[in-house]
Order: sequence, then structure tokens, then C-alpha cells
Amino acid sequence: MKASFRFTAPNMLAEAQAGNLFVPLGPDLVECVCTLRCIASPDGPRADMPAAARFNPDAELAVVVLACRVGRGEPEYYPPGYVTTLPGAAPIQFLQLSAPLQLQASNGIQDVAHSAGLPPCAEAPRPAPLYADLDAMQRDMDMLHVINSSRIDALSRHRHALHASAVAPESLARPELASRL
Amino acid sequence: MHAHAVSAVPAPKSLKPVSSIRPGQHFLRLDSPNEVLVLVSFAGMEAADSLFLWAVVVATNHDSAGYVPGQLLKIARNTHVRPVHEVRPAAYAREQ
Repeated sequence: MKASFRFTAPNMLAEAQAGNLFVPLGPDLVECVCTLRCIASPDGPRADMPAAARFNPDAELAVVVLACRVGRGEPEYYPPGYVTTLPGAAPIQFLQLSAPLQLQASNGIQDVAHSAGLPPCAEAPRPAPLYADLDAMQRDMDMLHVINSSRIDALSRHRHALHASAVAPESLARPELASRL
Repeated sequence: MHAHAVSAVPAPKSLKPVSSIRPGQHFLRLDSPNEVLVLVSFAGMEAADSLFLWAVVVATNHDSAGYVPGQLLKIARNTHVRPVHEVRPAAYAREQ
């Protein structure tokens, strides 16, 4: 999802708690809204690393990208759900949500293009897309693979037969020179 | 951040197995549609697992039961989910 934010005063990543939103100030993920990776526990969500261990100079904290200020294909773009580690001393800026996210049910290829920020197609939409879903595409790919595999096998057998007849000693001009090895 | 992070939850329109969701695509669970999820990716690739996939919460609404952004969830590959896309992106500001 797209995001817009401004920041000035930095904090340390080790100060972040589970569920906090922040933007790293460098060197990585500088265009991304991130949060600490956390897991469910009886006491509620908690980060992978205890609070005391985060201030270890060698501590590496797992962070998850939630949103990005730049679009797909641009430098420093990372998709939502991207997981990486940053040092606990990495500078960050805490963020808060100022406008909520609005969602719509995805309806296939056109919605994917819409979500990617692509302009609408100039020509009339097709009555049926070439592939309605990835499963249909995968089935066609598998069928194509089977057909190609059978053709490759047939060609390979034909080639072996030709090669065997071509190098047979009796087919040579001087069969006595054919190696027995 | 968590409350009202999502202002509109769409009605069910199309269902897909979670294994066919591409990295970066947002989706909702059928049994708990108050959290927006994406699959966890490492350098653009999904985490290798034969039966399960890992998803992460990226936004919640006020009906969410204790989930926070960044929380990992383990989902069976054959679980059907509802893919969604954003009509209006969320906006963030510096915390006061």
C-alpha cells in the first residue's frame, strides 16, 4: 500500500514495541513504514527479542514492511510483508496513522493493474480474460510442459537412433578403424 | 494505529486459496476479516514450507481481537481467503 509521511527527531529501533509503526532513517527501508515482527503469546503480541536484549550492541531485530512511500519498480521499493533484520541501534522515526486504509474486493487482472497504479486500458475490455486465475494459467503451463516433454523425448529417441546407425562400424567407410572401446 | 486502520471491509466477492496469493497482495481471512494480511516474503520470495504459509498483519480495524501490525500468522496452503486491493492508501504522520 502507498504511504506518505514526514519525520524529524529520530529514535532507536531498540525502543520500538510490538505494533509500533516507524520508518527507518537508513541505510535500508528508508521509504517504508515498518513494524517489529511479533508473535502471539498468552500475554498478547510480543516481539521476537526481549526488551533487555535489544540494547545489546550486536542485536539484530526482525522488521516487517507494511507500506512503502514509493511505487513498485522504483528504487527503495519493498513489498508489504518483506522481512529483514536491522541493528537495534538503527535510527527510526515513530509514525502514527493519520488516514485509514480503504479496501475493495479484488476482481482479477483489472484490479491488479488498478492497484499497481497503471492507467486504464484504452481498448475495450475483453469479455473474458486470457487467464482468470493463476490456477488456470498453471494448468495450461503444465499441459504445455507435458506436450513439449513428449516432443523432446520423441526427438531425442529419433536422434539417438540416427546417431547409432551413423556411427555403427558397418556403416563406416573403413569399419576396421572403429574403436572397440 | 491499530484501531480504525481499515475503514472499509469489502463484501465477499472472490475466494482464492492462499497459495495462489502473490507476494505483496493484500487479503482477508474468512473466519476473521478484521485484519488485512500479506504473505511474508524474503527478498520477494515466499517462505519455503510444504503445508503452511506465513502471513503478517499489516492493518486492523476496531473489531480486531488483539492483533497488531507485524504479527505473524500461520495459514494452511489450502485455506481460502479473500484478495483485496486498496482504494485509498493509508497515510502516516510523525508521532507527536
